[in-house]
Amino acid sequence: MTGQSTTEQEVDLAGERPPVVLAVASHALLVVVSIVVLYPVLWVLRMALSPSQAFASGLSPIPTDVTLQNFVDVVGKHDLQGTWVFGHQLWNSLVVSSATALVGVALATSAAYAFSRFRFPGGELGLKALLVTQMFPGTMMMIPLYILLDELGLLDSQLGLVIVYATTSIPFSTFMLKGYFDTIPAELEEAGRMDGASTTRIFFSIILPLARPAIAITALFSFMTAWNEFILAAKLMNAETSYTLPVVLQGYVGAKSTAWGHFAAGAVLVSAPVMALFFALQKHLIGGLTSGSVKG
Amino acid sequence: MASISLRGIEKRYGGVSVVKRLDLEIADGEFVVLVGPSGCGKSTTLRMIAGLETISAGDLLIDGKRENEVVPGDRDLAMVFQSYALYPHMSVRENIAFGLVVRRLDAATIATRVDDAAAMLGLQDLLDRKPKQLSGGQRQRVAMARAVVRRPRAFLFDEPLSNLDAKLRMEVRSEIASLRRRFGTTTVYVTHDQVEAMTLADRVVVLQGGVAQQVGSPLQVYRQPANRFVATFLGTPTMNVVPATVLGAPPAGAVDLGVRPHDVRAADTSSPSPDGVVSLGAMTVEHLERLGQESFVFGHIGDQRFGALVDEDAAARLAHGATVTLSARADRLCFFAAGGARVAG
Repeated sequence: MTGQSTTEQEVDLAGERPPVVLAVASHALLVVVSIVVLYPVLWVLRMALSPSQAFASGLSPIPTDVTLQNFVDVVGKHDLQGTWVFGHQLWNSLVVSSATALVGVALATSAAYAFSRFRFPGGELGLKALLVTQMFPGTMMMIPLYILLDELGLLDSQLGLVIVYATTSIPFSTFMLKGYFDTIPAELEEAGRMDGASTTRIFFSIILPLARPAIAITALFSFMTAWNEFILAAKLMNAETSYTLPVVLQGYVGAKSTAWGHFAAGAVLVSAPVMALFFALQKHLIGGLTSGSVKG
Repeated sequence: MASISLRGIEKRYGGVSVVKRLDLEIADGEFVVLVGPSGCGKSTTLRMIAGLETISAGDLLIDGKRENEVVPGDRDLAMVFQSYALYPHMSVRENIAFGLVVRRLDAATIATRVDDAAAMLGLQDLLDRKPKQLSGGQRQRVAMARAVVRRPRAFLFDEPLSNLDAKLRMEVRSEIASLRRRFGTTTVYVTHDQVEAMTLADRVVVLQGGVAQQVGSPLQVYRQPANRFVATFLGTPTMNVVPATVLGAPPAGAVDLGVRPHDVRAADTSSPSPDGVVSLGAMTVEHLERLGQESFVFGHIGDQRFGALVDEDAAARLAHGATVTLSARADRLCFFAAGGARVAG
């Protein structure tokens, strides 16, 4: 009997396997897509590790001569007063991006929870208005934002940049978090209310722990919005020591000549913290957090 | 413990009334079951008592005090949900303790009460598990422990056994009955399962279309249904209801006659009817249901469908197409007027 059922299982499993031709084709497609995605990254790495500042030509992404000089030059850059410029710029990027993520997540979670759970006048309209703000290109907002920050005395300040970045990331984050909150069963909140918990207590003790994956994604999104942004940072910040890293990268691209080696090394350095943050948050990006809570 | 009074309670969604002027007095310590088909307003009524739904009209009194606007947490009632509604990120211990932690009881009291509740429901070995590591029956027991540990004024159960299989349903049902015996706490219990209603309730409220059709003891609603709906909703197999004309004694004239299949005997041999037993006629067997402890035959007399109890010996002999004669005790017959209301027989 056991032997028979094992055989049946094997037959079933074999039946689920795709035909060989289809398997080869799908793997070939995956290999091609992987090359398309990875090739530019490898190519930037090649330029970053090459001693020359010239634009690398040729198809091979593997460098002929390897040196870390470009990284040393970018990281060790000092201005005429002897100030460690890269340190300041890295610090600016970290502070602005972390603060944007913190402010963005704090405001977006509370807004999204309200949109998800409460019915209030203008609620639906407010949600649509948030969506509409996403339809305008960022550069269109530059002049009004510049005037506002100037009036507030926040030009060339990290706080000004944080406010601008947070306001641009909050609508999308709110939308994303609202979608997630909608999937958390309302019975859990009702159980909390029967247990005597206030709305605030329910939000912090029941809802937020269950929304960890969405909050992690939102934090990452807000951080990346600020970390990668160039145009507003270039216009709103004046001093070289106030720049964020994307502005510095642009500085290597000149009108007459471009230091491609430094540019590529800078690009690699700029992408490293985002990757580190992704790996740090990865353990929170798990599904099934509400399993076992309600039947269904 | 508490008494609960519903006085002219209504619930409207827009222009639609789902509960219509419901009056109900639940005595201190009483176990009342709200029963009815889907959409009859039983869960809405329970949720209005809990405070999870606003009350459109009428008064809700708990221990004589109007509590329409009191928030759920301040009503001191505990609810067991159909879907368990356990906090998935908390352990069983944390789930049970949550209501006490919110109420800022001291740690020693919380620990003692959680241990007591866990012991009562056989959860001692599961306290450190998460809900997803539990079976359906265990989860529902955790939900019950979460209610019991609070020592509330009343328990509210919203179809707590609907998600369990038949065997577990019986087990948890006896646990609810034993909790009730132990605490004597006022309980309002919603179900669509008449077995739960009949076995657990002191009083049953049968609802249809947001209106209480009958309030009475389980035996009363079963034996003396107020109307045709109550008669046919309670009891399995469903009560036989056929048009009839009564001659002579009231209720004379055209009525609907109702008699439960359990009260109709099918015999494949003819014998004179004893006193107090009326003959219903001969029926051709179309379907035979052998349930082990009892068997039923179903068929038609004229164009009216009938179900009747048949003894095991006769059931063994009967086949599709056989003819049986049906008879019923006269004192078990019900009569319903044209509008469905029961009339005295």
